[in-house]
Amino acid sequence: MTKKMDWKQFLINYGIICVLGILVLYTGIMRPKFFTLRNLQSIALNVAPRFIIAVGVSGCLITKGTDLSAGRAVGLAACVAGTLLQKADYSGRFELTKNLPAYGIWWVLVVLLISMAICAIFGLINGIVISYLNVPAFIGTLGMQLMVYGICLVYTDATPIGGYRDDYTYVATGRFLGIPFLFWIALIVGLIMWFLYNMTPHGKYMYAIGGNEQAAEVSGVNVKKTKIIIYVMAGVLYALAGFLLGAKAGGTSVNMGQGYELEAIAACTIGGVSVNGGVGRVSGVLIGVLVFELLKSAMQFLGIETNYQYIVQGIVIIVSIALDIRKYIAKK
Amino acid sequence: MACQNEKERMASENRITASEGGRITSESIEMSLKELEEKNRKLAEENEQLRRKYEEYQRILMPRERLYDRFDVSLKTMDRIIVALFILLGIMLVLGMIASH
Repeated sequence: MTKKMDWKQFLINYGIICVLGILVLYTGIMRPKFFTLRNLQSIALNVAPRFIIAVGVSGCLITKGTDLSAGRAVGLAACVAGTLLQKADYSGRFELTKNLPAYGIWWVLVVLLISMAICAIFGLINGIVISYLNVPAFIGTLGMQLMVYGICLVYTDATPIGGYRDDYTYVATGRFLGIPFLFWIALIVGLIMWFLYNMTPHGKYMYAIGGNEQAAEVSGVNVKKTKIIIYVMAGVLYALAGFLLGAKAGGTSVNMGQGYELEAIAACTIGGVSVNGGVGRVSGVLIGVLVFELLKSAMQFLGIETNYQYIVQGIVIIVSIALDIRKYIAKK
Repeated sequence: MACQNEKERMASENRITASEGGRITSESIEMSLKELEEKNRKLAEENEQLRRKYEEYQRILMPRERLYDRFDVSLKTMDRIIVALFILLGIMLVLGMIASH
């Protein structure tokens, strides 16, 4: 009896990962090129910026919130970075920054900080709206999503941006000890966030708020301040992800980042971050993002039609939520 | 009210018992009554506490949890739903492969 229950518990906790693992194995057998180093590197390069976005969203989910503006914030950051880091002699240079001189390599870092500052401001607005005005996170961040998209459209005038400087694209193509910079950056972000979630008072407050907000408040946690910090940090992470995605793609448009927040939420849920709040780990987020990217890659290799790929991704998200609901019902 | 009636009945019994020299019996009945009243009072307090806790629990539930609470879905039903979703996932994967070929 006990053994049966353990299997059941294992399937509840890791069922979706098991199923996707089987799919990945099947893909590897049917398409041997799936498990080549090149393909795995490509998956890792896709995972890196999405992991950064998902870690930002995970903080919001842990405190029983959400952030639907993540994708658009990524797109805005990519556009801002792109417009400021174009080659001086590029013919299709962005109108507003046309007369910007060709600064040194330090300018790449400055632009990153500018993007982070802009997205941090939007994160701050999200945090204030949710904490002080008590607007549900879903509604508040949905409004912010539209606002950021509109601002991006106004700023770029819906024109695609390209012709990047080599030192900017080098951020995505360069390697250190044979490993791409993107991977190193994602690793550092993961370690910092793990430390923050597990070894700092802020992390403890986050889980306390997610577990029981009233009890946390009564215990002396500054709930409003903590939530604002979470959303500001999330904004900074989206900016970093947008900056990296722009460098990786070599160009951007207002549509960059569209739908990324849903992927991030799905990945967090698959990785064990509960939408009920109070539960979630950085390692789980990484697993969730990896599983989601492997799923997408496996479906492409198997030649599954694109329309069906969307359906499958949707079902995976629903299954993750259903498992989360089941855990809640079992706990009750 | 019921308690009061019980008391009166006991009192009338006491008069009969007392007249028959059974004083100890009426005292013990009084004590039992007091114990019962005390027990009743404690149960009423506990009930009140539990009611307050439940109201507090309802109040602190986030909208999503209140939604989950409203759905009267058993674990078994959830398991069936999840299994059905997995089967649907498999079907979609197969259909997707067939459609592309």
